[in-house]
Amino acid sequence: MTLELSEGLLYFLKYPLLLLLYVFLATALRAMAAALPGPKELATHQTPAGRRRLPTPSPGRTAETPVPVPAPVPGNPPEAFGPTTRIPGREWLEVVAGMEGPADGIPLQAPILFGRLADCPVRIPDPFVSGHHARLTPGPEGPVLEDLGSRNGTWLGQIRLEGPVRLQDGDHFAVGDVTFRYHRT
Amino acid sequence: MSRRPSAFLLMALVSAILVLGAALAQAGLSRLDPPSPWPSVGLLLGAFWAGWLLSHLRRPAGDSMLLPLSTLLCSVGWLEVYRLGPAIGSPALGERQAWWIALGVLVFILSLFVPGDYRALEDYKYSCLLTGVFLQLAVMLFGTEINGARLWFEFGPVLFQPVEVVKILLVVFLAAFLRQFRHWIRLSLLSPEGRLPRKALLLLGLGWACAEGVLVLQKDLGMALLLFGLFLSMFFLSTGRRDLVALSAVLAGVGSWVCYHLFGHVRVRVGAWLDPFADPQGQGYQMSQALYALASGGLDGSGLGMGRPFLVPEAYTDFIFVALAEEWGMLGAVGVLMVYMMLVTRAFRIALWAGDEFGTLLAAGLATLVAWQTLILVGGTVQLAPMTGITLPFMSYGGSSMLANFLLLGILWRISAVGEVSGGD
Repeated sequence: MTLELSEGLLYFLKYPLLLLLYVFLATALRAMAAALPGPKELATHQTPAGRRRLPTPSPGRTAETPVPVPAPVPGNPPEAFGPTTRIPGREWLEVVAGMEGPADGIPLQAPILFGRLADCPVRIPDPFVSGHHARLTPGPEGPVLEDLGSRNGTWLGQIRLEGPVRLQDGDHFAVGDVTFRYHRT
Repeated sequence: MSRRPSAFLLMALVSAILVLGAALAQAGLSRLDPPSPWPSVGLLLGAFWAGWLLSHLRRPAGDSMLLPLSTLLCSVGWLEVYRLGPAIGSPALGERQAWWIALGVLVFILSLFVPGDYRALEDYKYSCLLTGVFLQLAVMLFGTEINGARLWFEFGPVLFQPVEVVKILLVVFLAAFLRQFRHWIRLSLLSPEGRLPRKALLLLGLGWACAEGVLVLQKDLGMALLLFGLFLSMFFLSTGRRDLVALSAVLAGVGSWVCYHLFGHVRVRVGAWLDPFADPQGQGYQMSQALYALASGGLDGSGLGMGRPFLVPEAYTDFIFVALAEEWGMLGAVGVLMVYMMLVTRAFRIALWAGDEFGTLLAAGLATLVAWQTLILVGGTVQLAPMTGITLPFMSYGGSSMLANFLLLGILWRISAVGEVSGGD
């Protein structure tokens, strides 16, 4: 099989070849991008994080800085989430996606560390998660989530955390590929 | 989220590029009466798909992007080699290259069928080092001299370039050695009272001396650059010390300067790099022809078989990137560079996901190896660095290089297949 083509036609036939090369590139990039960390597409309703950002602008590295408690956010009666056996007023975390969590959720009584290392109460074995990645500290007005200077960030909905943020019932947040949901019953 | 494109689709695209390219190259060369490309294309397609099928059957958890990326580079490289064959008077070049690629895929498959675990390599680190040093010394003393450099062994009709094997042996040795002594080096670096980290400096000095030795004794700038770059990258990866790397880079600069003034062959190479048009018919001939070829390629190239890349000496090995840039244009050349980038990114990702420290260092070392080799060679052909005699991974004509690179791919696949969390799709 030999193509007998004029030079002019051959000259233009190089474009399909280049096009194929770039289709390959685009497809390969798409396949690879799917595995990168970034804003997670959470199965969540809107969580407008901006309005609840706490007044401390210090990004979490100074982990021991006490978080000032702002004026309580009015409203937001607790919704009826979680198993009905729960004690009212109890706080817990549900693992929504990315990891197998305990069936009855993670109780939230003491501060919780999220990270890749073994000394974290919530250990996430994922190379995109930093050793000590994020911390959730319970408080009377609701728990405060802060990023501990992680490389790939802690995400509240679509927003990357820049300072400590107070969670409300039903908020989704993500550490690496794992999505959590905060519940208050 | 949209479904992730599969490796199958990518392999199909590679096949389409190969078939369309072969038809175009044959038509473009019709004046030279080229041999039919179709037996070779059939061989390549068979090898690619057999490799894809067997690798997924044998170790399904492996990184499924490795094979599409490398076979694309092989295909594009083969198209240029096939196209150059009739023009430089050896029409069988394409067929021979197809056989080398098929053998490379065979090596890849065999490396997947070796029983056991890649971690076993760690126990052979000193064997690797000794074999590497032995091969390197042997080729210095008994190698066949071609174009003023002793880089090859001649076995009948086949030329064997030990550098290609030595580089992989070196990565295995460095990964195992640095994993074992990483903390020891770190402790030495942390020594109090501002004492000099003598042991670490000794190691760095040793690596530097080896690279300079290769440069002086073997007259091989590319190999010296590759070895030292590899050594520094892996030293940095395992210790994270930027100051020592900077210090070594300065040392390397000083060494190069001294070599430049002491040795004529280095001066000639650098001269041909800095000003090829000072002697366009002599020392600068290859480089100036390469620049003309790059310029005539332009943005979209001349089309396969329509350019004159055969005017550049060694266009099918060292200067294959220039041949590509002339006939596929800047668009094609940049596209191929992006494929190299993806391959290296992917190898680093395998390093990140590897279940153990040795795997991480090994995969990262192989990634830096491909990256350095591509950078040094492409830089040399587009006049960003002095030209050196190493091959472009997966594209240049040559058996040793093809087999070694597929072996590298096999090791990467093995690491990705046993990672703590599977990396493939």
